[in-house]
Amino acid sequence: MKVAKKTIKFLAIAVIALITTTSFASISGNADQNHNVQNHDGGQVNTQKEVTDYIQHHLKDSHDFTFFSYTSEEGERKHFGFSLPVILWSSEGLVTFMSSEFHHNDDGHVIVEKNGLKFAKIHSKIYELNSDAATVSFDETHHATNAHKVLDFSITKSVVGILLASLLMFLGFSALAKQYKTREIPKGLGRALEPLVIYVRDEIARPNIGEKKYKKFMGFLLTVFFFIWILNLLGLTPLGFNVTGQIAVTLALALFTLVIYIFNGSKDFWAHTLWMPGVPYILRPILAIIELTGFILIKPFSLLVRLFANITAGHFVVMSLIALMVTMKEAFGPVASTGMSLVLALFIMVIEVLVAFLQAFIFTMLSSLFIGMAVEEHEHH
Amino acid sequence: MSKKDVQKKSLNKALRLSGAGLQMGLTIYLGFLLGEWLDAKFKTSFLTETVALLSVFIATYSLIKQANKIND
Repeated sequence: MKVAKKTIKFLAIAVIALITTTSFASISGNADQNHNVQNHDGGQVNTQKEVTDYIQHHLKDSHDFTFFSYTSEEGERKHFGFSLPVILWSSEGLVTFMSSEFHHNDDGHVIVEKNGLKFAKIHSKIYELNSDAATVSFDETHHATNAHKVLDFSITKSVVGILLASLLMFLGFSALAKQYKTREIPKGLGRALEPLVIYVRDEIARPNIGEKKYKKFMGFLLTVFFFIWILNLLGLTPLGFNVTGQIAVTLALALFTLVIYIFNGSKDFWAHTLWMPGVPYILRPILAIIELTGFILIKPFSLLVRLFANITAGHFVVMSLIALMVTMKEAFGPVASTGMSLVLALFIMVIEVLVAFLQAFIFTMLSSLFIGMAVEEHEHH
Repeated sequence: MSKKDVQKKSLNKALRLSGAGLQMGLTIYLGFLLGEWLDAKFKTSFLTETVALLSVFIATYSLIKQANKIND
């Protein structure tokens, strides 16, 4: 039984390692042929501009899940991955199809016809063409002139990442919770999770919110901590998620914090914010405006931008360093450029593992701090 | 309370000022916009500078208030 378990683990690790090596190999291998030819080499990534475009494309959300892609001997682009459902609310109502119908096209040249409507994908966004148009036409700044965006409820790659993280959290923590029925000290994965739960409680929630009220907010703080941490770590795996680097995701997280501390604000908190004691009367309304914008706009904004910017920058730097072996090849030769890229990418990757934890910690820390400021009761004054 | 606890507590409190820079900047910018709007409305030329300077004063005042609160 034990042997079988080990074999499965080994297989899983081998598959992940294989995916890593093959996907990197396809980037470096492509550099040998077809220099300076753009768009006619089957989508190889081998110039500075193509590398930048590739990174930009990764930083955005994607409608299909691609593990890696390469160009075959015949010059045909092959993709390994699976397609995801596209769910749209168009001018004619609900439209659904699989993302494979776009055939990995991202510049609006593949038109999908569904329910008499035409759809095109341009830079990871889906557009609905006007009824009289057959193809998308662009103006000088590359904006579509005869198509408009639709409400997109698709199960995108990031949504898959969120669902995966939720599943992992559910399995991990329900297993941990069950163990307390029969034993004092949890074993297995639970032994690693318990200290983290205690850490969030004793180092983050208790000192910031206070002994009396911290329990009410533990659910939110633990969820947000592990959610951000797991997704940050998933973003470092070869699966290539970039969920916490989506500004929509971090905005939603910051809004949760905002709603929680606004609705749990004590009488003291509102009195201090709107009519600050110990200040000349003429300044009080002005300070109320400043304090209000601080709590409603600036604090959530700094929360969401901090997480988004750190993760985006991390992905950008790691991918740029991996791309060094392509972009520096002509100047330094294949061995030096690949060696340099390997050492630098490894170094930054180790730092990113730290950043993944740090950003989850900072987000939880500041959330609990803001909640603490809102629920605080003053005995004096 | 041990020395370590005191240090931790003061660090936590200092984190309250994490958005203070942004808040000061926004206050001053909004003051400047208000001054400009008032200048256009009353056809004067001195209000932009006056209100912008006033908002610098208010932003600093609010920062000092926040900093004082940490010591309470």
